[in-house]
Amino acid sequence: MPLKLDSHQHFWKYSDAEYGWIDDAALRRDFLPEDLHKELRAAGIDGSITVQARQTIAETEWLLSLAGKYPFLKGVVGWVPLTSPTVEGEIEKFAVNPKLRAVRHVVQDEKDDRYILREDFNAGVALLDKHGLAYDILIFDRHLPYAIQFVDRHPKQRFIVDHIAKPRIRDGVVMPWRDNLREMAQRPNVWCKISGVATEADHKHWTEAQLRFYIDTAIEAFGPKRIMFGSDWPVCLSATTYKNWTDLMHRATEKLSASERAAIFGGTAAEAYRI
Amino acid sequence: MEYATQGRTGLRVSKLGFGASPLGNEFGETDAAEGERAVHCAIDLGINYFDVAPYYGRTLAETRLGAALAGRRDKVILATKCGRFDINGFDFSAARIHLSIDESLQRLRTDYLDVFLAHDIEFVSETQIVEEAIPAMRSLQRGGKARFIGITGLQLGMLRRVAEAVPVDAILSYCRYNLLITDMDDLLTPFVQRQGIGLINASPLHMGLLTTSGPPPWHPAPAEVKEAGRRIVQLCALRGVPASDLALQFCLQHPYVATTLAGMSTVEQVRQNVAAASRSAGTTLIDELRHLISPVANRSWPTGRQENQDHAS
Repeated sequence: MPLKLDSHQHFWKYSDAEYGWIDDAALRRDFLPEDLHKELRAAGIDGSITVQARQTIAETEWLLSLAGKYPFLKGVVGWVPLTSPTVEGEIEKFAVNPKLRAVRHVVQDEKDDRYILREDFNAGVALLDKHGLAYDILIFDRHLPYAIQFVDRHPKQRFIVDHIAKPRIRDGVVMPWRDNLREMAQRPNVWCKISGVATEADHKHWTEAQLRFYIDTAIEAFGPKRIMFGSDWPVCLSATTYKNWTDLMHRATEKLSASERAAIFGGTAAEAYRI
Repeated sequence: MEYATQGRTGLRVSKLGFGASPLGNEFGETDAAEGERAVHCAIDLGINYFDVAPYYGRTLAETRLGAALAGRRDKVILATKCGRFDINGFDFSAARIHLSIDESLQRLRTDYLDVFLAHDIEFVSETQIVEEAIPAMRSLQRGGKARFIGITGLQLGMLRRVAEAVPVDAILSYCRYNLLITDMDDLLTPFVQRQGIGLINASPLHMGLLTTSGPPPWHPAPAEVKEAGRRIVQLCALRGVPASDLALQFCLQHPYVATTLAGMSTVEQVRQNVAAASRSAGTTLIDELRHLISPVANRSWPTGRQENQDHAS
């Protein structure tokens, strides 16, 4: 039996100074491995991949220390200063820890929509593959054309698109997100996480058919073997519960074959992150 | 009354739904007080799904339904529409849709709709529905004015294309699944079922064609289809079964449609429809009728723009 994995979740010890971007009062508290473990057990999920929320070296160190302590944390997507000339030293230091599986930069919040095409950033990304690290692409739908050009510069690098590239679900907008996502999916070195979907819709008034439309589009574009389920816990709690989201994803995939469902709920993440 | 879940909306709807277009005198003059009693009777007998539109009676149906539902709003699942306001009056602009829902809410004496549908979409361009109307309706949903949104129309291909281009929660199809026609199941049902979209079927009597009184003068069906309807009514009379009962039962047997809308405006019609819904139809007679009309089965008619038609005509 392959492991059932949640490919995307976060931890934090809340402070206003470090987590100012959290605008939901319910999320302004600590979310730690014990809290997640309850949710995973209730949902029948064996482990998770924990993803950076702060853009600091300390965040990567902290997540790796948690992963060392809690065996159900199967991998870490950390942060390193990719645009820094000294980034290789940081990567080498962290990459000796087998729990570090990928790095991510919060490209979506950069003022420059073309940040992902910056030379210094690409120089940093070019170092990841030789250290066995994947890269998580965190963008909004409007960044997809740049992200496609970015991916084309690194044909051997494994990429994972977070949150189906955040379509504007709450505005009922599909295009050009769908065309761009399908174009991205043409690249065999790219995988896609179905996570963070409910939070891109209206938090109170989203409908299942509305989310299903975007979920189905992503599955069709990448195929189940390059799709991974993720919760985006605890961020998801603004719009749903851990159980409601996993139940919805089970319904959305109920027509697929057993091996396809196994891929989405763990196999794909294990392959993409080399777990 | 039986209930079913309307796709992924999760709405538990009565399998027989109350079509309120007759309250707007769309099928002849109706009495306002009797219409109100019909609505109350329907609720008492377990009908919880009510469908109306600003177009029906040019706001009259909404006004009457709103009055009848006063104090009973929480007992029903209420659906109305936007975009069609007159025979040739269409406006699916975002501004008009925002205005329309407020007007409808006022007439219906409520502050939210359960289902809000773009009405007869084939009369305008697909692009406007996808890029303007649906996003406007989603923004109203976001504001809490409508819980679920969707589309209606006669042209099944367009309903499907729109739902493939942009997410909708529900689709209302009419005059495409009843004793005279079943092509909804070829062109639309498999798709909506796969997507978990709620499917509402309307016009089990093919807009009055399967009644003893016959269709209204404006009925757009081709003459041979009207003739087939007459023959169904005649044969049913010979067998001692009201054609309208049988026609309704046929629709209620559909495996995916959660609610079938039958137009009603009198207590007598409500009682008759609820009684018919509680029995199942004899399959032999249905087979016989379907065979009888098979030469003209699945014939629809053009509505709206040329480019939106299912069949080139």
